[in-house]
Amino acid sequence: MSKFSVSKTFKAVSRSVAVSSLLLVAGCGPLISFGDDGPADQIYSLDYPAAGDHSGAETVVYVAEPLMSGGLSGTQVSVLLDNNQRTSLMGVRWTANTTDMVRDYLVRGLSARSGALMLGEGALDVKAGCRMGVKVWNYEYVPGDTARDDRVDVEIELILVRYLDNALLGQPTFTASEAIGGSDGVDVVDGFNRAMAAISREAGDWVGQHLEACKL
Amino acid sequence: METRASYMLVGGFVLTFLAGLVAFAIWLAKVDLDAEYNDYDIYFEGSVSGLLNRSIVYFQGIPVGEVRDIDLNPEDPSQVRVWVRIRAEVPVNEESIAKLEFQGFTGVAFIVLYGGHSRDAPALIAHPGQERPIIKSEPSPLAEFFESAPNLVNQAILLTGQIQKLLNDDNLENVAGIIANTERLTGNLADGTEDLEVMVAEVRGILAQAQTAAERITTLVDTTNTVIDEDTRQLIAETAKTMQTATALLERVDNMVAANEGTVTQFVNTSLPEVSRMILDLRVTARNLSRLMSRIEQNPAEVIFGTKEAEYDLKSRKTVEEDN
Repeated sequence: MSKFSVSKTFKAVSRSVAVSSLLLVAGCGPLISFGDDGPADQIYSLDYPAAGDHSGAETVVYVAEPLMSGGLSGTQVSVLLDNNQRTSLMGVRWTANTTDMVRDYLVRGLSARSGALMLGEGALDVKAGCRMGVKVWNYEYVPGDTARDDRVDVEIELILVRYLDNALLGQPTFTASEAIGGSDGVDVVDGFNRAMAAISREAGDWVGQHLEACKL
Repeated sequence: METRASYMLVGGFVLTFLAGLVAFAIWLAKVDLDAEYNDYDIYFEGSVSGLLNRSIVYFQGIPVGEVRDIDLNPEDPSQVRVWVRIRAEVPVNEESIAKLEFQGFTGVAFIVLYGGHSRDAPALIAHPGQERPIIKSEPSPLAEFFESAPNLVNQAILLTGQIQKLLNDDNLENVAGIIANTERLTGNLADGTEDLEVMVAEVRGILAQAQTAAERITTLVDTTNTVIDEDTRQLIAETAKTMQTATALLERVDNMVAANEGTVTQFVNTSLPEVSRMILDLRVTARNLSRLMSRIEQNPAEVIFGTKEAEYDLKSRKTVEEDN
């Protein structure tokens, strides 16, 4: 093959690739968000409890991925209106999926309160005495008639199962309702933090009562 | 002129007439002046209605005596004592039995003697305390019938009532239906006789086939026994060889497990729980994927571009439509 024919072939391929790329970009245009001119969302995270050293604990509990009640999973801040109408908070988002956030908060909060080593994501291969299933029934901001009546409701059900014999050790439900102190996103997130802290304390005490049953 | 009567002639005539009259009465009464009689007592249980004084006593169908008196047994009022006078030539002994009989249904009763034909039987004598020898008695079937007749009548009345109930109109209709069904059944049986013959022929064929099959099975069993006898030793030898091979295999497996005990223990202690939890997480993942697939099937655009929904504005405290 001569040098001329190779160059001609290369040019034809280059043109085809360029045309295909243009067509692909044009076709995928609707799928690609290029942003808009509106204000940026406020992105928040929970204020997780301090991590303690529980590596020597005799009781190890694996916290399973929470099951979120309908519409509560995602990065939007769920809002409960009248007549069970649900929506999300405009301009406010979580940094991560609420499923992961609740799980991480419980892992740290329950470890700090109960003294047991609570394991979450990333600890799948660690031998544990019990498994804790989590069901989140409520995790939402509830606006009232006035700003003073606004609140955050959190309701979490825990299912503690012993690995040794698959025995159900308990299935309590913990609830917390915290008032909102302002009309900004940070006030709402503060309400969520206080609610999760209250539940974490109460649930940590309950887990502490079952340390013997979950010993390795 | 005065008639001179012959007193001697008149007296003689009267005496002759009276003697003839007595002889005639004796002849008329059939009094057997030469006969000799023996007296006996007979005790009957229960009633002797129809039996009177001078009722006749028969033996072999011949009148041989009569009833002299009838009264109750002083010692047992349930018995009736009958005093009879029987000609002396009649054989009455310990084997003789008296029975009360009746002449038809008119109620005229008489006594029948039977038995006593054995010459070896002891003569009947009066024991101490007895006025006369006592002939044994037995109840008459007819007397028993008459005694039980009232009960029989009552039972017959009851039976008649029951029969009337049984044969009411409804039951008569049912009986008529049963008879009709029976007639139809017998007709069907009669019609099915030909089929029955065919069926019997088929059964005979089946039995013949069964017999042939039984013979073949017997032959097969005999053959099987022979094969088993011949092959048993070989089978046992092969089994022993297989067991030896299996033992060696188990030893190798045992050695292999012993050599890798640590690895196996680690697998059981760590990997198994991990697998268990992984399965749980896989369930969650599978459920989420299922939901996602359902959403894509129902509304693919919603999955790609999101849902158009109103959002809640904290500042205005109202829901605001999202601009897409």
